[in-house]
Order: sequence, then structure tokens, then C-alpha cells
Amino acid sequence: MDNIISIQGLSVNLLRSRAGNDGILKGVSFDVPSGSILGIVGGSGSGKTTLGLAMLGLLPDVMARVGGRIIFDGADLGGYSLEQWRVLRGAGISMAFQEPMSAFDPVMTIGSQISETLLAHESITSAGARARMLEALRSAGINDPERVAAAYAFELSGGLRQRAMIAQAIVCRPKVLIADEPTSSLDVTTQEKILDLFNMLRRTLRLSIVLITHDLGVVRRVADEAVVLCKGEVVESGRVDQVLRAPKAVYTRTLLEAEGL
Amino acid sequence: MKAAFFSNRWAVVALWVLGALYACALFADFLAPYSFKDEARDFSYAPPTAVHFIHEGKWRAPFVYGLKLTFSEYRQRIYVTDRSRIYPLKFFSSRLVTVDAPGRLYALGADSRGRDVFSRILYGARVSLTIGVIGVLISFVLGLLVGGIAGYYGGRIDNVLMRLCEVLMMAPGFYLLLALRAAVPDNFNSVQVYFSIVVILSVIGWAGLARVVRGMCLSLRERDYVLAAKTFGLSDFQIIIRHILPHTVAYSIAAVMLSIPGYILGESALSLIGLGIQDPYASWGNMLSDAMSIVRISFAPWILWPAFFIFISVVCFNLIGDALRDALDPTLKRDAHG
Repeated sequence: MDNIISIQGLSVNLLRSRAGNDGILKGVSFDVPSGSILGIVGGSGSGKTTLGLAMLGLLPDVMARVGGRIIFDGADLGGYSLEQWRVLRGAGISMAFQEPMSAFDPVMTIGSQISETLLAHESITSAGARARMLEALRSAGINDPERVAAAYAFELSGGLRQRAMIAQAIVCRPKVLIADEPTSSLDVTTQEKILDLFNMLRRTLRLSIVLITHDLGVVRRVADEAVVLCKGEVVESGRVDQVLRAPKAVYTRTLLEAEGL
Repeated sequence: MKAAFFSNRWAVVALWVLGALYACALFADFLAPYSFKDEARDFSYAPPTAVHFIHEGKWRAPFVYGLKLTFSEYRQRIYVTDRSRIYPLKFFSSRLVTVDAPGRLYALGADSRGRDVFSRILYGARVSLTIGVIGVLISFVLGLLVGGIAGYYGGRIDNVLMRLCEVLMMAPGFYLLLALRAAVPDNFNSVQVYFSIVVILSVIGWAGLARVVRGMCLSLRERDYVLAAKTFGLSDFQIIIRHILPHTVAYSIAAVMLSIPGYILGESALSLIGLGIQDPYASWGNMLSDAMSIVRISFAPWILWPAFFIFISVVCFNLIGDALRDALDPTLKRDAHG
């Protein structure tokens, strides 16, 4: 199986830090096989969100990539211009956030934000964009897309908001979806449904998903492979059943024990 | 928000007054008894005309008497009412009210060339009341764009744009106005002069708005939905226009409303010293240039009427702007303003 994303020795540093140790990511390497779900597990401050942003070329101003390569679909993203990055985001690699409440603009309807994403990437009419937008909402498991499209973020329930966020992320048919803690703010039953949705999207759209989470239960449930991050370093990676059943790294064991798994 | 605005009684009154003034400007061709350039040199500085109903002891339809010009021993003009002949008011004959020549109807008196001050105020409103709105639109767009770009990008772009704003704000406004006006060719026709004044006023006006908007954008760009918009591949320009600037609107609308009076006064000031709208075209400012000498004011105080209209419209815009600001700002305590 081909790798849709291959991260090789990625290092990210904090600029102008006074403390001596300013590495946020230290030589991170892993592959995302195409059509698979890869879980990136780590505690707070392990650098997992930074890793997600680095894959989109959106590191905060205070950080810089100091080494390593990101290969997406055979292309090295290191030499990408700003415009190439922009085109890649949304259409090649897309992202869903932990808190869809704040990730949607409060003064725009859900529908117009999703259509806006489409119009930024494709030259289609607004009627065509609307049809595609409703289709994306439907494939994110929303039964009444018209109502959701006309709603503002604060008018929807948490589960619906997360589905709408995922719809926005997949509307341009990207190959990779980076989901940053997509279920952390949801209750347990809604979590289940969102994870089912990821499984379905992977099957129906051949979407590869990078699932960033602190929750080993989530990884166990949907991921094929797992990467365990600790303080910016990969301490363990491999098939999920392997990692969870026979953890080699001390940190993984600590995580497992803490969750009582 | 709507309710908060309309609960402010003075703002509602101001809205009606301004509405009436704009309606007057729009229908000046009908409401004004004379055209703005209709001269009658025999009636230079003629006083306001009285409308009479009784002629030689008999009731009549409303009419006016003619005026006879005489001179005092010091060669001062003295107008004497000539009661020998009456000029009935004629309603709805092409204009609302007219009288047949040589009778003249001066509701608010005449200026140096015998033109009707009231008519010229109505025609002048077309310039004075629109120049602020158009000017403010231009500086609104400029201010939002510059402020948005500076705040969103930060760093060097921010530095350059903000220093530019400061240079504009540092120069005393009126001298900058004069300098910019001097840079405009003086053989422009009236339409060109009008638009060059609009542009000059807005060039001066955008900097203040840009600075505040920039400050708001510095905080808005850190919002999650801005990062989200980036991850979906929206361009910087789209993000600024669609996801950042709309959030500054509550402030900017009120700020813009409150800056309109500055434009009205700016136009008046330019026209007053003869650099704005040129005779025979009327603006409230250039009508006042007649009133720059104390001799003329004491002789014909009615040439100060345009100042009254400037005052009224400026007060109205301020009242509306204040009410808008209060209504749009949820953090402001309502009872603090009564």
C-alpha cells in the first residue's frame, strides 16, 4: 500500500525562546498508508497539535520547521510556495478541529462557510457550490442538510456541529483529513457516532485520516496504526493492536494504565 | 439592537430632521422658489419678504408687495415696501410657490446678488449633505482595508501602514486639507471640484478608522475560525474580507456615522475660503463666505442662515452616531446615558 503522507525526521523549534530546550518536535517520522486511519496519541504538550499544523504549513509565527521532510502524495512539501500551500489546504489535506463552536465564524451560516471553501478551490457556480455543500453535509451523516446549512454554529448541537465541521473539511474531496481531538468535546454516545462516521468516510471516499487524540480508547476503536508522541518525540509506532497489547515504551504503558485499559 | 436605538428619543428626532433635510435636497427643484443662480441685482441683500393677506382693507389670497430700493444719506441701501401693487403667490406652477416678476419672494432674505437664500440653502444641501456620506464611504473602505491588512499580517506591513497613518494624523487637518486642495488643478468644473473635495476629505479621514480597526484585527486574527479558514485553503484576502472585517462592523458603523460631521465641516471650511464649491453653485460653506465681514452681517443677518443648517445637520449626525454606538455596544451600560 502506498503512503499518502510520509513524515521524515520533522523537527520544529520555538524561535527566540529563552529556555535552552526549545525543540517542540524532534525528528518525528511516520507514514500514513493511503486509505488508513492513523492515530497520533500523546499527552498535553507532546506536540501533537503542532504536528498537525506543520502538515498544513500553518505553524504559528513563533515556531519554525528546522529539519525534516513532509512528502504528500509523492511531492515534497518543503519547496511549496505560499500559493501552493493554500491550494493544498482543503483540497489535498484538510483539518477538523476539536471545538467546532469556535472554528465556525459566528456571524456566517454553516452553509455559506462550506460553500466558501468550495469557491476558494474550484471555479463553480454558486448553485453548483450549494449542491456540493448539501451533498457534503449529507455524507457527513446529516439527515436534514438544508436546515443545518441555514443555521449558525451556535444553533446546532455539539454532534451536529462536529459533523458540519467534518463536512466542511471533506467538501473539496481532500485525500487526507487531519482530525485534531475531534471527539474530545462530545459526550460518549456522540463520540461513537463520529468515530463511525470516520470509518464510513474512509471506506466511501477512500479518505486517509490522521486522528490526533489523547484518548487511547478512540485509537483502539477506529485506528489501524498508532504513533505515540512524548515531548516531541515518537516513542512508539506500529499496528494499533500491537501497540496497545504489547507496548514497548514506558510512556505508552503509563498512558494505558492511566486510562485503565 | 434596533429597539435600543429607537429608545433613544433624540436620535429618532435627529433621524426625522435629517430625513427632512435630505428630502429637501432631493426635491430642491420643486421646493425652492428660484434656481440657485437666479439673480436680481436690484434686490441685493433684500430682507425676508413678508406674506400679506390684507390689501387696502380687503382680504386677499396670500400675496407679497414689491420693494423699492432707495439710498440713505450715507449711500446705504434701504428697501421700502411698495404697496401700490400686489404679487399673488402662485402654487404648484412648476415650483411649489412662485410670484410673478418683478415681485420677488425671499423666505429668508437675499444675498449680495439678490439670489434667494432659502433656495440656495436647498440646492446647497445637495452638496453639503452628500459630500459627507460619499466621503465617509471612501474612507470607510480605505480604513477597513488598511486596518484589516495591517492587523492581520502584523510585522513589517503593519509597521509601514501604521506609520503612514500617523503621518496623516500628525499633520494639522486643516492645513493638510489646504495643501491637498492646492495640488488639485484650479480649472476643474464644478463636478470635478466636488469629487476632488470628496477625495481630499476622505484621504484625511481614513487614518483614524484604520488604526482602531487594526487593533481589533490583531485580536480577531487569533480566533479559531480564522485558523480554520486557513486550513480550508482560503486566501488571506478572503479571510480578511469575510471573517475578520465583519466582526469590526459594530464599531466601524458608529465611528463612520460620527465622522460625517467632520466632512460637512471640512467642505464648509474649504468653500468658505473659496477653495471648495465655486459660485454660482451653492454649498452651505460658500454661501457663508458672503458673511465674512461684520458690516454685511449687521446689515443683512439672514446670510448666516446656512450656518444654522450646518449646525443642525452636524448635531443630528452626532446624535445618531452616539445612539448607534450605544445600541451596538453590548458592554456599555444602558442606564449610564439615561
